[in-house]
Amino acid sequence: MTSLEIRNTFLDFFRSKQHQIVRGAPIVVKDDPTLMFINAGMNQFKDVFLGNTPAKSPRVADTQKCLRVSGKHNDLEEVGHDTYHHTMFEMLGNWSFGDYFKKEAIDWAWELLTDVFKINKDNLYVTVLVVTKRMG
Amino acid sequence: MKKDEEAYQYWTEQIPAEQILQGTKKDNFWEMGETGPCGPCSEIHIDLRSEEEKAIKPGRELVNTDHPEVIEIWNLVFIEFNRLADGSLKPLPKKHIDTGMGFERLTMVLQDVRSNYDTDIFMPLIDFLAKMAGEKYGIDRQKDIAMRVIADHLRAVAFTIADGQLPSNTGAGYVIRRILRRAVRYGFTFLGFDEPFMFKILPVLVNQMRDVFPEIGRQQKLVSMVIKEEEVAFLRTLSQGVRRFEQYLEKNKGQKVIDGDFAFELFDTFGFPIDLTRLMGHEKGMDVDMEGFRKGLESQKNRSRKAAEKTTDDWIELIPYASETEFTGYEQLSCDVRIVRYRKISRKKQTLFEVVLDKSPFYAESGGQVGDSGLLVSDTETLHVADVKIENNLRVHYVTEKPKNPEAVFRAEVDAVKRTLTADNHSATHLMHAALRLVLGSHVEQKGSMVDAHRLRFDFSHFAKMSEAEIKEVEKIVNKKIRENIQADIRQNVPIGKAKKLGAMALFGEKYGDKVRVVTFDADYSVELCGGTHVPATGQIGCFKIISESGIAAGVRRIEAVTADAAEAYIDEQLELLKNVKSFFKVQVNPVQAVEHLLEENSVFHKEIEKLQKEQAHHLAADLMREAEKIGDVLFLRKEIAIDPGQAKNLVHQLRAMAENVVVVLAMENKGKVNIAVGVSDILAHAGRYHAGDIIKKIAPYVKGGGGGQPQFAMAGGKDVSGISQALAAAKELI
Repeated sequence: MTSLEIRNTFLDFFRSKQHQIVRGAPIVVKDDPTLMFINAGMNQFKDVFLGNTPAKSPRVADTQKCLRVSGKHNDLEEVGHDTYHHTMFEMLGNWSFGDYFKKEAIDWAWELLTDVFKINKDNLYVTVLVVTKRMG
Repeated sequence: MKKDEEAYQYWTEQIPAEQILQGTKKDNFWEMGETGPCGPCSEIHIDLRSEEEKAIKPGRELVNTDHPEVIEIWNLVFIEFNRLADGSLKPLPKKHIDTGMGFERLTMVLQDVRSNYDTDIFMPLIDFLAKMAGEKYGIDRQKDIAMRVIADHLRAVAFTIADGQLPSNTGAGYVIRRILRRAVRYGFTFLGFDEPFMFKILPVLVNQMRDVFPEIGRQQKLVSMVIKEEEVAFLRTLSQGVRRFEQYLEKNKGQKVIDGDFAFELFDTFGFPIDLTRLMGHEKGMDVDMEGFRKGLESQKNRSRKAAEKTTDDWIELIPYASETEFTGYEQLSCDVRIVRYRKISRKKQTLFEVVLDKSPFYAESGGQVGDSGLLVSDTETLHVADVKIENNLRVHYVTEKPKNPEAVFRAEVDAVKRTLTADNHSATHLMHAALRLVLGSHVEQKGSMVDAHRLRFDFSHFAKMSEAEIKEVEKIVNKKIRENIQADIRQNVPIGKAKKLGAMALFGEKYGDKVRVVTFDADYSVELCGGTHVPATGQIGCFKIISESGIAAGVRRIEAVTADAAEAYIDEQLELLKNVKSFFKVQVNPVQAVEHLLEENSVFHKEIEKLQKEQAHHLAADLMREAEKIGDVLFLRKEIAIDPGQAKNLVHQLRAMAENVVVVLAMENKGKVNIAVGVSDILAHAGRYHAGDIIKKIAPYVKGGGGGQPQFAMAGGKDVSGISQALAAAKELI
């Protein structure tokens, strides 16, 4: 599978689940003083999560250009030395704004990875939040 | 919340329980920031190791341990809480899903390779680069690193420039510059590129990506020029840095350790990555003081962190959120409003209040136009609105005092003078943009814009300096359009497709909704997508004047201009200057001719004066020499004299050349200080009979001074004026 096919397969899959496919935001952030560059797919929907703007569609998916120059896998001085650090990368994402929740998110992620992309189930692990103390 | 039971339940329907792992708050609770929406998440990890390795250690033990082959590929976030400033969690009325999957990683998994860089996303770039360098990827560790660095960084830099961010010395532009420099550095050191090379790889990236991200195709020419110019400039800086490094080595011969501060200077000023400085050090048998380097880096980070430090209180909600703030400022400059919510923020010792209104006539900073300022007036108080910004689509008014009666009805009043002048400048920017496209060509595209009450600044793509004639032409067209008094035709909520059909110039790097606002001044002249405030008709702008044109990056020019009162003031100022010049010359018609004449005359006078000064010095020397006394076969002159110490050197050299055996000692007093100059003729000096430097060393102590020099000439400075005659007497004793 070429990378082009992989990207399209992701978007087509969520289109088939009634998601609107949107364009990613420009990589340079202009209206958020806490952020210089887009660093995750959710950035352009922050206003929706904050309740400042109503969502244009309840289900959305896209590929988003991201830039990170610090953090676990993105420290600029580390990039190149190993085979997995990057500054710029694409983040594929799907969103529900007050629409579907955990069940569909989990089922669809699983369906895409194992049925569509045919990843061997035995090689996959998932993590779920468990805390011993009260949160926060 | 103790355990995400719900997510656990759904996962058990898909996957054996032993493949579901308990996650910690660190990895499995996502927060947008200190406060705000948050919730638990579920990560999906994959084990890419061989069967043998899996048999030795099960994958479940390696999840989230930074193992390079047991990696996270997808994160599903369940946003269901709001984190308040006191740290507590409040359930959200509406729950959301946010997921993110790294595309390069997924591709690595599906293409069954062991590195993101081995996928067809990076390999075309690396192959092209390797060929250009005459190398092969996968043979030499250092060269492989360099190729990965360059492939990664080119993508970052190219996409960011295409989205409108140019390299610069601050903020986001500085980050881009640093990334680009790091790549150039690796190419220079490990692949032998001493000329720009990054821009040559760009076409490969563009071909790969233009269908997915059309902006990279459309902006290719500009991106290429900007990258190339940055490369040229940095390669120059690099060779300066290498020289600086060599000087440092020279000064610190025998040392085993390179100072951490110096390594930081190379990093900060010359863009040397630390691994490079270490490498260059190792070649000379020196280590870098990494502790010191990290300290420098850390304190720089702290400085910028401190500058950005901000504390935010929780919102105080007065009216439950219903909809976006209604903006009434296109039609009116004042209206009655209510405060929906407000909160206190503190930044750099300054306290402000962020206030959200149900409706607002205040324009919020965007599209390069500054935010409005003004007042919120109720029966009991007056609040000052210092600035207005859109933050995450929320219209935030920055108010300088805390509302005492926030529930009251306020009269919102926009500062009308500032608004009008700003509108003049904004509309003039549109007129100028259109004029630039007429005069220079349709390649002119907006790259940046700043409009306030005082002036306008406009950055645009164009590949040469504008000529005087072109600037004049642009001014002429804009002023003509002003005099035509064109009515503004402003349409809201135009579908974006229709707006483009109208010929609207859309900007790359801007986020547009499906519906846009179209601002037109003559449908055949200027049609732009714009949310700004404009003049009702162009006549109001009055006058337009460009005050500067300059380059800010390769292929990007900047014009600054003024309109209305400011343009009038600018022109008045220039005319006043001219008037003054005319009155100095007492000419009414052609002061330029008068200035040329004056400059000519001036240069003639200069030459004349120089000639006279030389003659005068010669006469002076001859006069002085008559006072010399004969001691044996030596002509000895000692004299206190009132000339400038700078001239003394010439005079002494003249004097010592006036006879075969001459010794001259001159003393000068100047503002309580003493200078002594000694000259010895060449014959006496060569014969070793007298040495000017020795003489001065012996007599300078009389004026509490010191000095030295050559056998023929020496000077000294001293502090004691009363010692002059003693010094001169002592000089005679030496002959």
